[in-house]
Amino acid sequence: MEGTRKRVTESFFKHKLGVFGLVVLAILYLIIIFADFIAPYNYTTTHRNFVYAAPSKIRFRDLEGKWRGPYICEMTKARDPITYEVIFTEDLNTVVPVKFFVRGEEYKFLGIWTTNLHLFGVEESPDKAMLLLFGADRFGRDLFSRIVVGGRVSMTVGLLGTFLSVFIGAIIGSLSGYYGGRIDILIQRFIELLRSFPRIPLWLALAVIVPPNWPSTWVYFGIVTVLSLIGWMGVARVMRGLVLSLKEKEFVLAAKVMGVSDMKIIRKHLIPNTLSYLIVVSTLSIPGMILGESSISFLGLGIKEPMTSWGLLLKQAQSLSELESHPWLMIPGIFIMIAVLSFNFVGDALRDAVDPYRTVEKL
Amino acid sequence: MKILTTSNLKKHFPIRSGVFLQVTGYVKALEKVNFAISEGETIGIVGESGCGKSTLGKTIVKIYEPTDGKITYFDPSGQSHDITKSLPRKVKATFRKDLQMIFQNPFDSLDPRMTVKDIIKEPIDTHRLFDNEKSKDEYIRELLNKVGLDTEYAGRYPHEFSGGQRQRIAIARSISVRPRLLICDEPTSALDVSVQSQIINLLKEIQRETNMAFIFISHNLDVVYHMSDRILVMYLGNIVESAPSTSLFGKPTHPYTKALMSAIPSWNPTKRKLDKVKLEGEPPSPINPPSGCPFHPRCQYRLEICDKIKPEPIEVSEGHFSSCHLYAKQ
Amino acid sequence: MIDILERILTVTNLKTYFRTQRGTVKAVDDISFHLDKGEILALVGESGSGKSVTAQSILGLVKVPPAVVEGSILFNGQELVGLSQAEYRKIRGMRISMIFQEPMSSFDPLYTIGQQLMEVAKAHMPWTEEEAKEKIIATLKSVHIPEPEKRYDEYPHEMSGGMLQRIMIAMALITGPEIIIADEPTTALDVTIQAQVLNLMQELQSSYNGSIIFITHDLGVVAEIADRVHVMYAGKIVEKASVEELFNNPLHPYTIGLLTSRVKREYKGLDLPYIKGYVPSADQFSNGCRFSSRCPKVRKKCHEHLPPDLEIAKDHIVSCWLFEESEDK
Ligand SMILES: Nc1ncnc2c1ncn2[C@@H]1O[C@H](COP(=O)(O)OP(=O)(O)OP(=O)(O)O)[C@@H](O)[C@H]1O
Ligand SMILES: Nc1ncnc2c1ncn2[C@@H]1O[C@H](COP(=O)(O)OP(=O)(O)OP(=O)(O)O)[C@@H](O)[C@H]1O
Ligand SMILES: [Mg+2]
Ligand SMILES: [Mg+2]
Repeated sequence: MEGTRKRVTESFFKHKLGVFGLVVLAILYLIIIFADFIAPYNYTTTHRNFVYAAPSKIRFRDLEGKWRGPYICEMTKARDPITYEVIFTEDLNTVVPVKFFVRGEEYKFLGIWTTNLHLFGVEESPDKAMLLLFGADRFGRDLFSRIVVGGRVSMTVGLLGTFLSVFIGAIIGSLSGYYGGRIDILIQRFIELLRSFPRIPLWLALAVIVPPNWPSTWVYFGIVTVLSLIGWMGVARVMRGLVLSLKEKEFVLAAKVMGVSDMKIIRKHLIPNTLSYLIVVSTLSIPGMILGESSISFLGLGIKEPMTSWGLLLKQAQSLSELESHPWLMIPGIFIMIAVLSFNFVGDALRDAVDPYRTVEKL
Repeated sequence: MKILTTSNLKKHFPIRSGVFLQVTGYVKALEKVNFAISEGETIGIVGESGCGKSTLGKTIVKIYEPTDGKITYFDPSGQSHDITKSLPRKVKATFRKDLQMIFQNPFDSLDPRMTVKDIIKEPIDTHRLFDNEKSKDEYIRELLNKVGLDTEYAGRYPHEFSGGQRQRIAIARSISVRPRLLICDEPTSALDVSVQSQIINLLKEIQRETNMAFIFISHNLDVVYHMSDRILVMYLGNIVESAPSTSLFGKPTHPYTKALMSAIPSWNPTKRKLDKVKLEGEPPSPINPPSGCPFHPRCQYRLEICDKIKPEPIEVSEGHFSSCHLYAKQ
Repeated sequence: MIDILERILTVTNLKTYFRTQRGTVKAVDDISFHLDKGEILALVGESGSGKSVTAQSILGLVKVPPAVVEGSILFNGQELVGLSQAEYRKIRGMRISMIFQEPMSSFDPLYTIGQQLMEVAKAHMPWTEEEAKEKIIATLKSVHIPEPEKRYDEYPHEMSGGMLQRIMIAMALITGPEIIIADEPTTALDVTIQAQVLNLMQELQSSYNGSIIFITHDLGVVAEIADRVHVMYAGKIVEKASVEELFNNPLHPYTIGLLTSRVKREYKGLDLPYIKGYVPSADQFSNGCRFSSRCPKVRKKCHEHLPPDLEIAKDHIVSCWLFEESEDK
């Protein structure tokens, strides 16, 4: 076991993109764990004065060219008298320094300690000046804070959904493979039937079942269930194939001849020999889940306000005119892309390390 | 003392096809196989690829359930048990200890995720041979020595070994519970010639020391001759000739056995002989075996009766049976 | 009448090295041999001795880089080492063809036998569809395939292993190659089928007057088919001789070991003689003779220096220190 583990780790760390993906994921997860601390504002607080405000300009020198450290200026909102468009004007004479460890809105750190310390921000009241790294949405909510918090849903839905679907898939798949016969045929036909439907309509159909008046945490688990109800099938197929070929392997037959019981054979020979494949399959199916949640939420059937997720945030960027005037609303999409790509890189690297001959198909 | 007998053992594998995998035919892998094996004896089984040798081995160790016929197992006290359908609960443990099997492919028969020590320990633990770890370790070391492996290897994984070394590990594992019958399914055919002899010598030595019985399966006639007291020649799931090995090689009677023997290379470039092999065509498929004698389409001594009636074994000399119409008593 | 032997292939100081994580694998390490028109040359040796890599090097199937192929392979006066893949394509499959060990995995299960043979024929020959089909059926007939017209439209899985192996031979023959390299063509077959295939190859060799490099690990097969034999061990050729000479007067301790490892009838009831130990793995060769770790007649020198090639009798060359003194005197 150690020998293989060493070989696999070595081979994984040779895969540059894989390591890169791993680092990015580590950062993303750190961010969502400490989301409230990292977000300068509460993600639900609305700010009348900053509706659709563009990302803040961070300046370092004041008008006289004197070094002031990073700072932003106070903003005033006005309407263009001709076009009636909202225009923000910076008051260049004001200096609102950007600082680390500032006091702001209260929140519960890791859900336990009440505090108002944030990683960075400005001490000025949000009526006058806001530090908006990625701009604000139509309620004047800080998009950066919303993305950081929304990552919680997006980045965990994939993990949880995959965990659940791998669990269901592995059990059904290995039973189907190990015992064979009628049950196997039935399960296989059922899976084929379900897999022949296009995915997105199926997600939507299932998501519609989740009652709209559910509290948002329930909706969250509803979505996880919907995703894994569809996701387990791929895992089950791979697992069945593996078990099918393993149970004919001579070392399994040898164990049978020795009188080792069925349960022990499954535990000592079959599971350890499929574990690494399962890990690979899981990693490769997380991106699909993330995209799934985003699609469902984007189409308005998933996570609902005031909870948020990247897919839901992207929903605001649906119309072309919105995009034209407020292009920063697309930023959540970039995060989805980064997360999906990173999981794919890690998955590919893992697969190359564990399964150099590509026996596991991509789901 | 007898260990195991079979009577009219038959194994047909269903072929499934279509959407609901209906049975559309059968692979007739074994037809009416009869033999008996006693302690200390070696029975050799030869025949071409696909003639059912492995199926026979796997059926008697109860990996496959026979389609028909009977398998009788005699436990160490001499009591007989019918184990055709399933293993009765009370003989299960003794049967699983008494019969062990070595497989053809040494690259496939050891769990790649277990150390050599864990591999050998598995049957010992299953049958609770020892209750303390120390004497168990001692015993494993003894086994490794016996099969000619360094005791240092105990902590290594199978992939670090060559084919011959792996086969030794498999032998150590199967003799660890001191079985009375060891089924060797082509234990040397995946190995190099220079290693083959080492393994054969090792098996012979184990047999001398323990009086173990062997069923030795191979397609190499010379190897089977060297190992066995008695040889069964199989063709398309049938035993076509069964005789003491010296008698079989001294005076082969069945046309198929003769053809097999003529196809053994001469090892003498001045006396080449393969162009004299009198065997045409290929073995027919076991899905649609020929009527009558299974060998008749390729037999050069074919009689009129051969495609009509399947020949029964005929004793041509003492203990030498041949299933061929040529020897029918008029 | 004096036979003027036409030398069709000359391999000199061929080295094929693979770079792997564990180090350089000297799969073929400085071997030289030649092949004359109309002869069958056998390369024998145990698993891992470099037989297949030799064949792959001749056919340009070793990927360079990462591997390194050095030395010279002269085919009818043309240097093959360093040839581009495009140029190789004009030779491989047409003037030098190959027969593989596993007939089952060498055919694509999705195409009929006819389609696959047609692909080969069309790739190399300027024949029309009808001409090609005619030739294919004639070739199938020459390898004793019954009802070749019917087989032409059948799929590989409908055929037995022995029949597929003969079809593979037909495939190799279609372009009328000057050399056929057969890599263990009978190892996966039963003795009776093996006899058929060996007979067939001999018959074809005399009717087509082609040359064959026959790779095997079975000396019994060598005795039946070869004209000359080269024994390989751990990337080196340790002995070269005519087949009669090799069987009557083997010199290298490894050759002797292989010959005595045969399971003879007389040994019944006795222990079989064998070569002790195992083949060293390809990344752990010592500086000395590679057989020294297993050799029953080993001397101090053997561990330290590679033995030279010594010509003991005409065309009988052995690479072993044991025969050095006789030369000195
Ligand atoms: N589990 C199985 N299901 C269906 N058919 C099988 C199964 N096992 C074996 N067969 C078929 O039964 C026949 C006999 O196979 P078996 O493996 O016993 O041959 P064998 O004599 O051991 O051959 P070899 O020398 O190639 O090992 C073959 O036609 C094979 O395809
Ligand atoms: N592509 C490769 N990369 C690295 N090593 C290789 C490669 N191909 C072959 N080798 C090594 O080269 C050595 C010779 O291999 P080769 O396949 O020529 O042996 P062989 O004599 O044909 O054996 P066998 O009888 O098993 O076919 C082996 O140690 C093998 O592991
Ligand atoms: Mg078999
Ligand atoms: Mg090879």
